[in-house]
Amino acid sequence: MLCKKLQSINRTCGPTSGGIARIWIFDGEDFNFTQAAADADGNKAPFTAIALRAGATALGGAKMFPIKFEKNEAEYTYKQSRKGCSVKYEHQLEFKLPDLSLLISNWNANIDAAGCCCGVGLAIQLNSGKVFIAGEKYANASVIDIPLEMKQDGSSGTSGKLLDDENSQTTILKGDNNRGLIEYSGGVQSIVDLQ
Amino acid sequence: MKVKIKDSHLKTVVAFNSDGKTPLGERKDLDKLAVIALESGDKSLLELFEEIPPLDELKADKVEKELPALPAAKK
Repeated sequence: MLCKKLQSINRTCGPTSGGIARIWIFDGEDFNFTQAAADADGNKAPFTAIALRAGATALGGAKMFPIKFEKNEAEYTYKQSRKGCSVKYEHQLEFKLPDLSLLISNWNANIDAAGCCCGVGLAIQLNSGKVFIAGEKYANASVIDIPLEMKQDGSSGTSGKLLDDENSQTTILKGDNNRGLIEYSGGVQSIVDLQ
Repeated sequence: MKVKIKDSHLKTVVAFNSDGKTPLGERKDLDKLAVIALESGDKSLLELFEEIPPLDELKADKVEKELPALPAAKK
């Protein structure tokens, strides 16, 4: 404690599962996330509520957009690095979209434009049940200090050669900021309801 | 003091506690939203309420509801 008060990782014992269950993309400008104050040790609390910001309407397109990716073909990874006291977290979400089509081409164009202008928000439900939020821009009705902007970067597609070869796009969304993602504990159904 | 949403926000939807569809005027768990609003200090949530009890009162009410009935001591 003389330099820094450390803490333990005291996870409640129990099994977990790998992989991703659901992914949603959203416009970070549309939603405000509510988060209780950090505890006495500075540990952040999860997001517990999501609400549309003033001017954003579901009719106008302010929604959580589900991504129907190929099952067992999605992964969230991050890599922490530092130079001196400057810390960076490189976040990456990869998922397969089956069946190359105009639907995917149009989706790519849309995501590329969003990536250029404002970044893309992501809600990622792991098979463990936990939901993480990436790319939020507003918390407790104030702008996030350093927003994470996820952008499509490095996606690739293949038609395959044989009948049973894969015909899909491997989509990669990336973004850097200075911390890990924050969980949303308000329940998956509440995100589904915002679709 | 009861939790009361402003009339102007009865049709507003806030996603929390596994529900992102029911308008605030129809929710039965506004006490939970009140706790979330007070613990976060989120002005956009606080301004939804006409009346909001203090946090300790809300939490005391929650304990009362969840406290299991103690079995009567056998004599």
